[in-house]
Amino acid sequence: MLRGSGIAGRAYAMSGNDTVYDAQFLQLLFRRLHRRGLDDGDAAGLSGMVEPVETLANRAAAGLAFDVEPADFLRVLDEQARGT
Amino acid sequence: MTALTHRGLVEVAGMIAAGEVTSEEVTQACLARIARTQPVLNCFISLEAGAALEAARAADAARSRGEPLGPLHGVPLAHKDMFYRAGHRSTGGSAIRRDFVPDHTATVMQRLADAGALCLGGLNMSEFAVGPVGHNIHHGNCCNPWDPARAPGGSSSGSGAAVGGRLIFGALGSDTGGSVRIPAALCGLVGLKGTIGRVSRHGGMPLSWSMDCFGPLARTAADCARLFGIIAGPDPMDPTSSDMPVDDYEAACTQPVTGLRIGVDPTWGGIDPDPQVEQALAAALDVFRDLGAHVVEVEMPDQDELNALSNLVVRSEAATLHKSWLGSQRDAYSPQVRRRIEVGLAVPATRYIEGLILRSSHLEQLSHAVFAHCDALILPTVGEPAPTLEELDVGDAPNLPAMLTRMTGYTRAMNYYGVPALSVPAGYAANGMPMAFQLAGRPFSEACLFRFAGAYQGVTDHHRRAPEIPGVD
Repeated sequence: MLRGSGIAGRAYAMSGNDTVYDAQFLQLLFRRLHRRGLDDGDAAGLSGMVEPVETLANRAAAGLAFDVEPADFLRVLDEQARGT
Repeated sequence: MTALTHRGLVEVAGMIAAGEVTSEEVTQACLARIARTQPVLNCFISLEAGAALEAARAADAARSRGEPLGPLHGVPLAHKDMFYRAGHRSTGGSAIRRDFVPDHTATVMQRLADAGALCLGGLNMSEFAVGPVGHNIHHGNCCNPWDPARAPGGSSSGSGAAVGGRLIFGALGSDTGGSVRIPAALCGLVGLKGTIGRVSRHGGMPLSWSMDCFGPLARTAADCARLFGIIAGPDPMDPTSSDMPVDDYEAACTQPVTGLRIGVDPTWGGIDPDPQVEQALAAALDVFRDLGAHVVEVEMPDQDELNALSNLVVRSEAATLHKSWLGSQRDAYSPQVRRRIEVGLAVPATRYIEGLILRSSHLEQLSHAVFAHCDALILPTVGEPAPTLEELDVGDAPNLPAMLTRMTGYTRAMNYYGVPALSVPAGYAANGMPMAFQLAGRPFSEACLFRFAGAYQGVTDHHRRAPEIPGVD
C-alpha cells in the first residue's frame, strides 16, 4: 500500500520534504474529497497559494490555548470597545 | 463656478434642502457625466436613469410640499453591484449571477433610501468581490479616473472610480481584506471599513461571514461620516450586528485632535512602501503634530502571519459559499477568482477553526502593542500609487500571491482584527496618482478616526483636487 497512491504513500514520501500541499496531494484531495479532478496547472497553482499560508498558520497555531473558542473574539472586541 | 457634480455630498445635500438646486438638476448632471465617462471608465454594470429621474422629481415634489427631509434627500448615489434591492438585478460582478434578481432589500440600501438618497444603479466590481485591482472579465475592467490605464483598486472598483471621477457623490462598497480602502486610496477618496458588526450585512452578497464589512467611499471625511452614520447601527435582520451606540461621526470631523496620540511603526509592520508613499505619510504626521497631536512609536505585530490567518478564514468561508457552483459551473469563474476561492476547499476544518480562535489573542496583542499607547495607528493603505491594470493582470499565474500581498499587505490584517480602518487621501505621486494613509483604531472608535481625518482635511487640500478624465474634462 505504501508504494501506491493514497495518503499512506504520500506520508511516506514526505519523510524528506516538509511540503504538505504539493500538486500531487491536492489532486488526490480533490479527487477523493470533492469528487472531481484537477489538471496539473491548477494543482500546481493551488499548491503555490495554499502552501505558504499553511506554513505561516502552522507557526501561528503553535501553543494554541485549550480553553479559547471563536466566540472569545467578540468578548475581546466588546471589552476593548468599553476600555476594560 | 464649481460644476454640480464636483461638489461634495454634504454640500449638495444642503443645496437641495435649501432649494438652491433641485434633485432633478443634480441627477441630470450626474447622468450626463456618467454617459460621457462610461466608455472610458466603465463604472456602471447597470444604470437606472429613468427611475432615478422619476425619484428625483418625487424628491423635489416632497420638498415643495414641505415634507420632512432626510439627510440625503434627493442626493444621487450608486453602489457596488452586490447590495440587494428587491426587484433589481444584482450581479455580484459575476457571470453566474448575471440575471439574479433578489426578492428583498439590503438593510444598508433601505437606510440610505429612508434618508432620501437616490440610487442610480449597480457599480462595477471584482467578480464576487474577489480581487484588489478592478479587473472583471465578465463586465469589463473598471478604470481609474486619474489615469484610465491604471487600476482603480478593488474589489469595490466602480465605487472608487465613480465617486473619484465625480459621477456620483458617494457609494457603498464591501471590505473583506481592503476592498473599500484600496479603491478609496487609489482613486483619491475617503473610505471606511468599520468595526466588524458596526454595519448590518443583511441583504449584501457575502464572501466571508467572519470578515465582511460594508462601508462608504466619499470625497471628504464629512461626506463619508454622513453615509456611515446612516448605515451604522444594530439590525434585527443581522444577528451579528452590534448594539453599541452609534456616535455622531459628522460632528467628530469638526473636533480638534489636540492631545490625541497617533501611533506609527517605523517599519510599517515589516512591509516597505514606495518612498513616495512613505514621504506622504511622514508629511501627514507633520500635519498631525502641527494640529497638536502626539506622534508615538509603536511596534505592529507580524503582518505576514496575520495575513495568512485572514486568508485561511476568508478562503474557507468563500469556498463553502461557492462549493456548489465550483462543481457545477467551474468555467463560469475567471481563472484567478476560481483559484482564490478554490484554495479554501483544501483547508482542513481544524485549521479554519484555529484561524478563528486565534483572532481574540491577536486582537489583545494589538491592543497591548499599539492601542495601549495611541488613539489611532497610521500606516499606508496601499504601498504604492496605482499600478497599471496591465501590470497587475497576472491571472492565475504563480506570481498571483505576490500581487495580492502587494495590493492588500496593509489592509487585510485589519479585517482579521475586526477593528475600524479609514483611508484618507495624503497627496499625489510624481505621476499625478493619489496616495493615501490608513488610520486604524480600537473597536468601535470610528468617531476618533473621523476626528483625525476631519482635522487633517481642514488644513490640507488633497481631497479637493479632481481628476481630468481624458476625452471628458
